[in-house]
This record gives sequence, structure tokens and C-alpha cells, in this order.
Amino acid sequence: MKPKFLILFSLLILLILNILFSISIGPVRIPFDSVTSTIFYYFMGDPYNRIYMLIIFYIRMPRVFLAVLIGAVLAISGLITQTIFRNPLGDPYLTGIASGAALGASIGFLISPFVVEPLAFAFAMLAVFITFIISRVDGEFSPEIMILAGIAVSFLFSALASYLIYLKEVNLRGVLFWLLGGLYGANWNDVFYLTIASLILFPLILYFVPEFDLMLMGDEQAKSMGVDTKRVKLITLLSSSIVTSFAVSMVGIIGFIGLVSPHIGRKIIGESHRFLLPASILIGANLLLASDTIARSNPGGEIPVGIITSFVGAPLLIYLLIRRRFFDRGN
Amino acid sequence: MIEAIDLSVKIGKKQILKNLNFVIHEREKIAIIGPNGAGKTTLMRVLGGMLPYEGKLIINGKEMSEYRRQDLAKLISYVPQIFYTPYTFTVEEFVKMGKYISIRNWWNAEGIDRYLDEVGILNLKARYVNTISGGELQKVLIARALAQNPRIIMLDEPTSHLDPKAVFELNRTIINLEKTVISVVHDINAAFNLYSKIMIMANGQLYGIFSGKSKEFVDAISRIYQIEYEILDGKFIVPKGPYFQ
Repeated sequence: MKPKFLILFSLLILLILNILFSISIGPVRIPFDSVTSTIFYYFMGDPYNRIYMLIIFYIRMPRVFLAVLIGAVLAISGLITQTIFRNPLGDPYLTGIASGAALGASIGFLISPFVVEPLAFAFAMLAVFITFIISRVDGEFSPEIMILAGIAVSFLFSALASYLIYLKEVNLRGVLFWLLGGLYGANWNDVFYLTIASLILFPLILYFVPEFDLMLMGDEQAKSMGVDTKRVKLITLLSSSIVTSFAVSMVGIIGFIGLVSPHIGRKIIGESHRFLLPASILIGANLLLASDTIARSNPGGEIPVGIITSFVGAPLLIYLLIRRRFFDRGN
Repeated sequence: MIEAIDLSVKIGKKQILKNLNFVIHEREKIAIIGPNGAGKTTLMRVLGGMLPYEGKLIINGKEMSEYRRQDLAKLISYVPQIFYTPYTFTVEEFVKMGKYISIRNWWNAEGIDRYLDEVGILNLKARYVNTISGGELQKVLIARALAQNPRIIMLDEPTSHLDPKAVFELNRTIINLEKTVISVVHDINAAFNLYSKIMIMANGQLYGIFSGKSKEFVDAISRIYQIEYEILDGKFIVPKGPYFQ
């Protein structure tokens, strides 16, 4: 097997172990081997430990799978943003998704807990669309303008959200917990809907793998080589924004996964998107799952996973910066 | 091959190119020369299909604006002026990208050695593009343009930043290409000696089109740069008289 496939394979094995480990961890500790055997016996129709199965199937599994999915979504969106904008600081929230979702969620907390998710999604998409509309130059998205437009839109939506939280009697702890991101509300429905969204939108992004490497050369070079840059940008940014908004509306704003996963990926597997994209997805899934396991096994009670990802992500980023292989790889 | 009729380009409200008229035939070697800010790079970009324009610009019998990007890339390849890449692709991968237009999964492309050989960088094949010199990178870019197999290659100051040996080799490569070549050139001697036609640009307009090695060209650039040039040994263009008085 070629080394790059071997790396991808190792990441996949790591993810599987990570999943089994995460399922075994919790208030009720299920021994590692009991996790596999319980699931195995259940599907074979043999006698199995009922309590273990209930915990595994209804409590731990949805949460674990949601973490894996959302880690993947954030990583893929982060990579797309970094590639399309040719900006190493690109993250999935660059187009205003986070602030849009925050405003939507704040309004939601004012009205009823049941509308938090749909409103967060709607406002995240609203922010994205405003950013997209501002960034159109000659019918094509300009990366330079889009970064600034994203910042402006983010500030505007954040200000509105802060105003609401400050003025109205919003459930402050609820909003804060939401803003910091957490998977505590995970259920099979979330997993199901996010899987459907990913199954529709990921192929749209993966389809453009041959174009992504060329896009790194800059818009004009990519065009000169025959890439329809307008189409690539529109389809990939829109797809990743929709699926990210969807993920954010479920679990809040989880930082750093989208930023850091592609950088780790580049370090271990190189620049070519045909390897980097699957690698980033696997790294994002591994990172978020591990962070969530830590977040929920905190002895003093669960803490928002966003805090953990930042705690883990920031030092990783600093390490990458110190190693100087961030901008001048290979020199 | 290329025909421009009253070609004008505005960027914002600023008129960059005004009413250009010219014809470029298959396999001609065209140099574009002119002072800074004359509109040379804008002309290159509009010929590469990167800018909207007014007037007519007909490539191979069809209006430029009607081309799809993929079809245009089969005809024209544009090698940019300044290019730095921080990305860790090998020279081989980089040149293979030129094959994108014929093989979408370009990394499966084969037979790119001939392009590397044509520009004399076969020995760099396994090197990373962010570790080679500026001159080598320029050659890699030209090899990539060749891999694209277009009928027209456009080069924006291909020999800037290169040492004399690299300039000599690169010029020889360019002139021997069996393609239409359009180059922005600052070196008047290179333009004079190597190119079959020279377009002089000034203030966004076409000052004139001259044959290579013609006295008319030397007279024209004398007026444009306001320096009196003469031809020595039929080969060198030098300012008249001693350099400094």
C-alpha cells in the first residue's frame, strides 16, 4: 500500500478505536471489550447485556456519531474555505455563519427552546447570503472582498445578538452554553438529518477535488488552465455553508476544528486535495470526538466542548506556527 | 488567429485600453513593449479572457466573450508575471496540472517528461516547487503551459529575475516553440532580435506594430522613451553617444 493510503487507513482505524473508546466512557463505564461484544451479540441475536445496550444505543452512540459527523463537516468546510480563499486562517465561520447562528439562537431562546435550532439555521444562512451578495464582483465571488464582508456581517450579527441578550431577559446560561457549543442534546434524529445533508452535499464538494489543487494557484491561473472558477466557488462554498449552518444549529459554535484539521492534514499527508480532503475529514472527526469525550467526562459535570476544542486547538496551531512549516513548507 | 477591432477595456471608471486594432497570425512571435503603465499587462489579461471588454476580440473565428473557459484553455495559456507558490507540489505534479483540460484527473496524466525536457528541467522533476529558484519556476510554468497544449502561449515578462544564462536558454526555448507566442518584453534588444512583430503600447493605446530587426521600431522606441537609440552591428540597440556626460 502506498504511504498516503496507509496514512488514511491509519486515521480510519484510529477513528474506529476512538469511537469504541468514547462509547465505553461515561458515568456507567462499559469495558472496552463489552462494547464490541454487546453490539455483536445484539446483531447476532444472541443474549446480550440489556442495560449496556440501552446505554450504548440510546445515549452514547447518537452522541458519538454526531461528534464524528460534525467534526467531519467542520473540517471539510474549513479546508474548502482555506483553499478557495487561499488563506491559511480560513475557517468554516468565515462567511458569518457563527454570528448569524448566534443571533438566530438568541431570538430562539426569547421565544421558545423549540425554535432555537430552526432560527439558528435560518439566520446562519441569512448571514451567508448577505456575505455572498456583497462579495460578488463581475458575477464572481472575490475572495478578498468575501473575507472582509464576512467580518463585517459577523460584527453586525454579533452586535444584534449581544443587544438582544443584554436588553431582554434571555436565558443567559442557555445562550452561553449554546454559543460555546456542546453535543449534550444529541439524538438519533440529529444524526439522521445531518447524515442525509452530508450525503447530499459532500459528493458535490468531493466532485471538485481535481479543481481544488488548481484553485490554489490563484483564480487567473486556474482559469487559464480551464477551471470554471465561478462554478467551483459557488457550488462548494454554498454546499459547505449549508451543511455547516445545519451542524451549527444543532450543536452551537464549536471553534478550531475547521481551522486546525486541514493544517494537521497538510502536515501529515501533503497538499493534494485527493488525499488532504479525506485526511482532514478523518482528523476533524477524531478531534471533535476526542474533545467531546473529554468534555462530558469532566469530573465536575459536563463542560461545553467548544472550550475543549479551543484548549486543544490553540496550542496545536501555535505549535504549527512555531515549526514555521505553516507558510513556507519545505523550506 | 486573433483579431481585435476597437478593443477597449475599462476597470471601474478608468479607461485602461483605448481602441486597439491588430491582427495576430498563427505561429507569429509577438513582443509587447512599452513604458510602465502603458496597459501591457491589461492587454495580456484581456487576451487571456480574464477581463470584460468593449469592441470585438475574435479568437479563431469566435468572439472571446462567447468561449467557455474549458474551450478557451485549449487555445490559450497564460503564464503570469510574478508567481510564487508556497505549496508543496512536486515539479512533476505541477506540470501535470496543465493536463487538466484534457484529463480531469490530471494526476493520472502521462508523458509529461517531454515538456520538462523541452524547457530543460527534466532534472528537477522530483523537486518541490517551493524549493526551486525563480528562473526554474518560470521554466516550470512554461512547461505547464506546454502540457496544456494550447495554440497560443502568452508570457508576461518571462525573463525578468533571471540570470543571463537562464535568459538566453529561456529565449531560445520561447522562440523555437511551434506555437503563437505573445510576450510582454522590457528588454528592447530581445524584442528587436527575437520577435517577428513588436507591438508598442503607450498610454493605453497601440502606438504601432513593427517588424523585428527594423529601423522603424528603433525610431519608434526612441520617440516613446525619449532617448535617441541607434543600431550597432545590426544587432544591438544602444543610446547614441556616450552614456553619461
